Amino acid sequence: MKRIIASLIALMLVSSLALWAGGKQEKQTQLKELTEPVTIEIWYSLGAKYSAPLEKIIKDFNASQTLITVKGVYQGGYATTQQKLLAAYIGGNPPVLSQLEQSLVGAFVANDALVPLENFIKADKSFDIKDFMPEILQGATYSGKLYGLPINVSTPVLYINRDLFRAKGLNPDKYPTTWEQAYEYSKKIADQSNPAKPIYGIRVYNSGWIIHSLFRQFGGRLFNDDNTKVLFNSKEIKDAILFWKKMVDEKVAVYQGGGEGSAMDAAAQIGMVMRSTGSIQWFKDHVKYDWGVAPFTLGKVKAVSLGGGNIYMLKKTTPEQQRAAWEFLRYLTSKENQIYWSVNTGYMVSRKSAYNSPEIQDIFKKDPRYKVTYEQLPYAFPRPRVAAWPEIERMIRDDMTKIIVQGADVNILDETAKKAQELLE
Amino acid sequence: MGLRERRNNLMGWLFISPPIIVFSVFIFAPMIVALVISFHKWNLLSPMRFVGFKNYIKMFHSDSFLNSLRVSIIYVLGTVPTTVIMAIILAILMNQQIHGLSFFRIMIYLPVITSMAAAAIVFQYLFEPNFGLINFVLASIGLPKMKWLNDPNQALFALILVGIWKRVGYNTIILLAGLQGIPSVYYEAAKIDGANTSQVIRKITIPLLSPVTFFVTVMQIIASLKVFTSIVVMTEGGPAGGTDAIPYYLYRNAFVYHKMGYASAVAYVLFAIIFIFTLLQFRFGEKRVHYQ
Repeated sequence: MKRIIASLIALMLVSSLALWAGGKQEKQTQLKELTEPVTIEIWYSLGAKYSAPLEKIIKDFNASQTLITVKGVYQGGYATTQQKLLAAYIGGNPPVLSQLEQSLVGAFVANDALVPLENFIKADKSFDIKDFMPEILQGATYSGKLYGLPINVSTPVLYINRDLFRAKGLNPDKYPTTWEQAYEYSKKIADQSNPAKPIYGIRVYNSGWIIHSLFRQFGGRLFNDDNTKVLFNSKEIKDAILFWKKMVDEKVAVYQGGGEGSAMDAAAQIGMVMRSTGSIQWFKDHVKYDWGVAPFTLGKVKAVSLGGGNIYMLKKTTPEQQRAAWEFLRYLTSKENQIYWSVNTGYMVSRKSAYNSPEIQDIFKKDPRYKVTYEQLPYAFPRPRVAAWPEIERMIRDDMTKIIVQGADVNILDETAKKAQELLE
Repeated sequence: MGLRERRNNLMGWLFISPPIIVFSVFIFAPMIVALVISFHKWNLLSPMRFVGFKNYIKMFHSDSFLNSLRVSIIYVLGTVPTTVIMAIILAILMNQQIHGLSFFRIMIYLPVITSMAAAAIVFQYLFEPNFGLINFVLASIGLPKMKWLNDPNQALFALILVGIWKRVGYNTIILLAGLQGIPSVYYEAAKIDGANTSQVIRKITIPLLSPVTFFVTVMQIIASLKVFTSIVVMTEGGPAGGTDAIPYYLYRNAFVYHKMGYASAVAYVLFAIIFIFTLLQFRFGEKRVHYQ
C-alpha cells in the first residue's frame, strides 16, 4: 500500500512536468534530412528468445549508418510495458517508439498520444505501404488513420492431437470446420475412464482474444461500430457461452487456461485446443505426440482475433526523434528483416513480398502448419479500441467463469453490459 | 535558551532529519496527494477533474468493490485465528527445553524470510489440480482431488493456507519473546502449589501473554488486510473475482484500468480500516490486558 501511494505521488509529480511539456507546439512532421546525430529508444515486451532477433536488427541498423543510434529496452510483459509507457508519456519523456499489444492501445488513441504515420508514408517514396497485408494493418488503424507498423502479429489456430484422433477412429486429416463438428469430434475423443488422466475433446478458456473470436464466430459483437454502445449481452454471445458450458458440463471439454492448460496439452489430455500460431515452437519443444494445425474459424461467421503487437510512435518527442524513428521503423519492417524476424520467432510476416519470398515459402513447404495462420488471415479482425477495454474484458471473463464453472445464470451479462456502458461514457 | 541547549536541539533535529525527509517524500506527501486524487476523476492522460465524494459513493455501490471487501473479510477470518492459535501452541512448545530447538525455530521462521513471490510460484505448482503434489497426497490417502486455484471458492481457501504458512513463524517468534518475558517466579509458585501443566497454561501463561497475543492479533489483521503478492502471482484476483482482495482490486483499478481517482479512494478506505485496528492496538495495547 505504501508503495502504491509512493507511485501515486511519483505520477503526480511527473504529471506537472507533463503539462509543461504538453504545452509545446507540435510541429507538422516533414521528411527532412537529419543533420545532427540522434539517439532514440524503442521499448518492447519481447522476452527470452524473441528479444535476440530484434536486438540483432537494431545492431545492424546502428551499424548501417552514422546519424541515428537506436537503443532497444526490454520493459517486461505487455501490460507492464503499457503501464511504464503511460507513466513516461505523462512525465513528458516517452521513448519515440514502443511496442504495444493489440488490445492495450485504446487509452493512447483516446488521448491523442500517438503520431499518425501517414505523413511519413506519403513523404517517403521508397516505402510502399501497399506491400503490407491490409488485414494486419487494420490492427494498427484507428478511425482510418494508421498509427503503427506490425512487429509480432499472430492469430489463434486450432492445434490437433492427431494420435488421439486416430485412437478414437477419427480421420486425423479431417479437421472440424464448425463448432457443431468440433463438439461431435470432442464427444468421441473425451474419455473419463482413467480418473488420474481424464481426456477431453477440446480445451476452452477465457483468454481475451479467444473469447472475442468465439463471440464473433457465433455472430455476436462486443460494441457497435463507433464504440458507443455495448452489444455483448446479445443472444448470440449468450448462446456461445452456453455452448461452451454444455461441453464443459458434459465433460466433453475442459475449461482450463494458463500454465495448467498448457500442461494438459503437453500431457496429451486434450484433443483440440486454440492457441497462438506463435505456439508452434512451444508444441515442437513440449509435445511428443503427432500434432497438427487447423484453422480456428469454427463459427457461422468465419472470424479470428488479431493478436500480438505493433510498433507505435509517440508524441511529446522531437521532430528529429520522430524522423529518426521513421527511418528505423522502415528498416525494421523491410522485407529482409521481416523474413529474418519471422524465421527466428515464428511470428507472421506482414509484407506480401516477404510472404512470397523463397525463404518463407520454403518454411511452408517443409512444415505446412506454419501456413494455417495466413490462410485464415482474410477472416482476421482487430481487437476492441475502447479505452476501458481491459476493465470490460475482465468483467466479461469473470462472468464466463461464473456461468461455466459456478452455474450462474447467463443473464448476468445484462448487468455487466449496463456497467460497461457506463464505462464507455 | 542557552547556547549549549540550542546546539543540542539542533543536533537532535539533524539526527532525526534523514528519516523525516525520507518519510515525508515517500510516505506523507504521497498520502496527501492520494487524498487529493481520490476526489478527482483522472486516467493519467486526461486532465484531472474534481468530482467530490463521487468515487467514494461509487465504491459502495459497486458489486466488485463489495466483493473485494467480502474476500478480504473472509481472508482475515481465515488467517487470523488460525495463525494466532497455531503460533501460541508453537511458542509454548518452543519455550520448552528440547534437543535441537534452534533447528525447529529456524524451520518455523524460514517462511517469513522467504520471498513471497518465489514461494507463491512454488505453491502454484503444489496446488496444480492434475499434477500438483497436494492433490497427489490427497488422492493417495483416499480423499477427493480439489480444483484449488481453478475454483472461485477453493482458490481463496488455498490462499488462506499460503497466508498461514507465511505468517505463523513471525507470530511465533513474537509470542516466544512474550513467553520468555513472563517471570519464572509464577511458575515456581504454581509448582509448589501443585498445579498441573494445563492449569499452569490456562491460569498463568495465557493471561500473562495476553498483551503480546493482542499485539500479534492486531498485526496479523493488518497484514491479512494487506495481502497482495500471493494474489498477484497465484490468481490475479480470479477465478471470477474469488480472490480479488482489496489491495489487488486497488492495484487493478490504478495500474491496469488507470482509474487513479477511484483507486486512491479505495486506498483511503483500506487505510481507514487499517487505521482503526492500529488505534485499537494503541488504545488497548497500552492498557495491558492482563493481571501483572
